[in-house]
Amino acid sequence: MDITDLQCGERAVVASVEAPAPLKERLRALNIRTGEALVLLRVSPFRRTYLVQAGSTVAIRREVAQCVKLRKA
Amino acid sequence: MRQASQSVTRILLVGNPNAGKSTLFNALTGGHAKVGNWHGVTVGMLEREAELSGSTFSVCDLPGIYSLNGMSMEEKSACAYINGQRDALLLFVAECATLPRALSLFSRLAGEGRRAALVLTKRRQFERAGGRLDLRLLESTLRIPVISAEDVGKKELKERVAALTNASDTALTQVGEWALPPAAYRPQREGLSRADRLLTNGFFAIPLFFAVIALVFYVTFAPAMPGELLKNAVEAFFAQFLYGYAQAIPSPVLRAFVADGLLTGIGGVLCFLPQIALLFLFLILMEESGLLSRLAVLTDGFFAKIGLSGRAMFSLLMGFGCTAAAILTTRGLDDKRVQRRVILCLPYVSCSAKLPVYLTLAASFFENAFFAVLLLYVLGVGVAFLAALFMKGNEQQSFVMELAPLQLPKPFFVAKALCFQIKQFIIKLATVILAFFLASWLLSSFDFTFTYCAAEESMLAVICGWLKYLFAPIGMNDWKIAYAALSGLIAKENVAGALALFYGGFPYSAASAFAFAVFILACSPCVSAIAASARELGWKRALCYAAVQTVSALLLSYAVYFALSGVGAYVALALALVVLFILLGKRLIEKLYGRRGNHAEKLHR
Repeated sequence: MDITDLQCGERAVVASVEAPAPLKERLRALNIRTGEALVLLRVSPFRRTYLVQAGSTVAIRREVAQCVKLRKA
Repeated sequence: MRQASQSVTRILLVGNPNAGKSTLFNALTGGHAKVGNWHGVTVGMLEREAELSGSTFSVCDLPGIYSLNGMSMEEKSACAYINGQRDALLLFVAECATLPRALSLFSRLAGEGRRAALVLTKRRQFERAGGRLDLRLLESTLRIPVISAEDVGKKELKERVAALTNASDTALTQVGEWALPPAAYRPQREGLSRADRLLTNGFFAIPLFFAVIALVFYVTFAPAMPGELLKNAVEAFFAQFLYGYAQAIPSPVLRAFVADGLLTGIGGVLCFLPQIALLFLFLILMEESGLLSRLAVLTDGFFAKIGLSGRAMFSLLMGFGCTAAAILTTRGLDDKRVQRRVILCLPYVSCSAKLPVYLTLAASFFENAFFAVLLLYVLGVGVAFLAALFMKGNEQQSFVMELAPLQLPKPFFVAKALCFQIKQFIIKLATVILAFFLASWLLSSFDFTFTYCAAEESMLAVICGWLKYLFAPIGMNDWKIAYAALSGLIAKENVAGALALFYGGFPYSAASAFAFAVFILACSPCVSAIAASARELGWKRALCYAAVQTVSALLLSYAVYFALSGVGAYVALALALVVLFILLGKRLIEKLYGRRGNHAEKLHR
């Protein structure tokens, strides 16, 4: 399961981030890292961009959202 | 290791993007660093002297950083700089809402023997959203001084910062992960506020944005609206009041210079100030409120399709103000290829300096300036998107961007930013444009024997005579038009100034006027924008872009003229030429720069 599988308002815990190192580091700095919880707030038209709350509110493009693997909270 | 009691002379402002470092910098130094409510406003390091409690300090504003092994160039250079400045006081700047994350970064930057203090920003916003913070407890946990910037006045803030520079409690002794005790910090409520729920809804927010833009244009340009009324007032001041006084000058040459040259030319540009100011006001409000950030998120899907990202929205919208300033903001785009494309598109986004030209020409092809300007702006954005689509690569991009908090812009900040822009415009008018204008008037009023003469016999007519063929295909076999067009290279306002100098009203047909407007829209930006793009991309590429833009603009203006004058065959020919030229241009650019292998992920800083 990844971010794109969540419903708006649904909460989950990050199981792993499967992304290249620089991207992983940026996500880590934004609190999207293994063990942290996040909530999906909104999805843009045509499901292109995902708005996620993980400490702060972060917008993530679909391709990146698919890299963030989740487990049930 | 330095002694803690020793005082420091240098203060570094360090923190995440959009923490409020530049705002603090301006408050401490009285500087004019660009501030805005989005992430990545500051792209280069700024340094300025500050008088704090009678002593002089050097305050340094660094670009925001997310992590130590950051991916962007700005992040890397900022971290290297912080590590190099062992003797400086580190002023950690953190937004209350993202304090835990910021502390984890700060604890990595804070080495033993360094001196540091924490400044918290946006506390009121944080508490309104349900967050709580105990400053004293925080101070005793971190064992460094903590100041909440919003709770102290500007004067007290300066005193407190000055006091920090020789306070012994700023010395760091323990080095380890800083953790927040739950009693000291309660995060704000999760989820979006009611206003944000609406503004992040694409089906509501995007139409709203277009409606707001249309309204802004209407208020600024439509007849009998504030923008137009103010413009007429300034125009009347120049044309009737000052012009009347100028008629009293005894010497005919001096009278002609002041009345027909200076007042008509400079006044012809200055009268657009109210409309330019209104446009800037809109841009500042978009930036400060955080709406721009939401728009960037919502439009990322579209921008991805044309090879850009939502982050490019910031630069493109800034482009409506000033192309050169907008080019600097593209440094926040981490992917060099995307940055290149944005810089290539930016000149097509009509900057505020093109506005006087459009409005001067608009009267010739549309009764209502509102429709004319709207048409040209839309056309410009269309060409910009086409250019982006054309240059689109097939690389995989990633987009991760923080959402700036939604806020009501503070009137003081808005007024200050607006005054700054107005001041910039007037300075430009009083220096570059005035100097150019003086030269133009001299050259077009005297012949080589320095006798006062008509424009057609002047030095300028001889020097620029050959230029008349440039715009002959669009019905203007006139060197003065070509000279006006070229003068835009120095500053776009010059085009309007030169037209006002040479002609009372635009003497050519509607089709010619529109084709000329299209040329101004699509041609190379002014020298300061070319210099800015050279700083980002190198001179070779910057000049290459400018040349390609000018030639394609010329061909485009021919095509538009032929289309408007109904010459079908010529249209097809001109369009074919444009396409051919663009194709060859792209091939050439790829050949020159084809081997780029920048695979850095494109993420906004």
